[in-house]
Amino acid sequence: MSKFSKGKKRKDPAISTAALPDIVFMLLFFFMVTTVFKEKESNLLEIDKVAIKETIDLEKNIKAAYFWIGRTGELDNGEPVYGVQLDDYLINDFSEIKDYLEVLKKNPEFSQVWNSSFFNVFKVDEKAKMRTVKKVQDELKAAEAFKVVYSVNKEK
Amino acid sequence: MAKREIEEINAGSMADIAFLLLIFFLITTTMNLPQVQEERLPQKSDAEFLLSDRNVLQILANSKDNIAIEGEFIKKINGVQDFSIIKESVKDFYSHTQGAANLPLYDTLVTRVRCEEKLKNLSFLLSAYPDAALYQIEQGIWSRRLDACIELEKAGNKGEFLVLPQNATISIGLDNSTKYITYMSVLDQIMQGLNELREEYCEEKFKRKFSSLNDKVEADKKIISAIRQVYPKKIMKEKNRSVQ
Repeated sequence: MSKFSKGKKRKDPAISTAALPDIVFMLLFFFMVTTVFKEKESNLLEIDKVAIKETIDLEKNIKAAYFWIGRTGELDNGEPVYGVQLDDYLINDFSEIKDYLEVLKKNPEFSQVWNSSFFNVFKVDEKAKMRTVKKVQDELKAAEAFKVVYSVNKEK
Repeated sequence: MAKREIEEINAGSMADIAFLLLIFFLITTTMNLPQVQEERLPQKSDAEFLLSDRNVLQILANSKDNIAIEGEFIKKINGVQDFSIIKESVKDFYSHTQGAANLPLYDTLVTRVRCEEKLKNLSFLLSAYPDAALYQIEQGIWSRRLDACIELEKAGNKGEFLVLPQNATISIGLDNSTKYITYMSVLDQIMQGLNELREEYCEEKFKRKFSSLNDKVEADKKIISAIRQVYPKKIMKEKNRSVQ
């Protein structure tokens, strides 16, 4: 018997695909770690958020109404026009806000937490005038929704 | 000599390992919560408060975003307003220096005995007038103060602290044309000043960092509310008006 046999050829073993799930999972992890969930953003207005140092975390799972105040893109005498977005439409009249909140308040899901953990989240462009913010807040007072939070970026 | 075939590696447990990792990352991943600044709108009321001048720290902003503290415009450095002066004024306002000009007078030393006495009186009054809203508010205030005293004693301190007079407040007045960013910067500076004071106090009395306290933990929550009793956030917005 010779040491190096020439007659019988050995079959190559099949390439193992066992590592495939690992590669797939590795990709999954990569995307999981790098994904940042986007906050609810306005689709009708341009908003540059303010960055400040002293901020607090907004609680998870809150009931909230969102108000966006930002540039509509139109110009009036060279000055940008600011609009208020509520849900997914621009309001024409500030009294719509009160009506909107009154409807929310009738919903038992909201009315239960109205005085404890119902938040009015404001996302306002940094150059917007306080006049607009005040007008919106007057409507909130009329609807007895007193908790306001201003969404900001954290300054490093 | 018989040749051994190369055995295939059993991949059955691979998925288990991958799932284990998946679950580990699922649990340990934290998402960034949205960052916000809080405010509570005042209830609609026509009541006018008569506030003594020295009990109010007045901050005004005009339509050109110039800011004045107690009637004096803040200084500009290279054409940019130096906002940090607001922070210093807030700290001065809250610091318990007795008798300084134009700063609040601190006549209230809160002690445990005093809290208990007050609460006893109030519960007596409330039994006579159960619907008196003012007494209910007072009861809330004093019971929170009592909790703060107890918390201080627990940490090995004297169960007492000085508080601002009840009507002492920081008042912000804004013109309708003031920019939103100005308002936010002012609020930011006020909170920075307040949190620095809270930080110092927490370090001194509880030997902990205020910012490291977690309000989800019951013991930490008590410390937080005790410190908030000592340095409460008191901000009042003046009614819409034009500021010259």
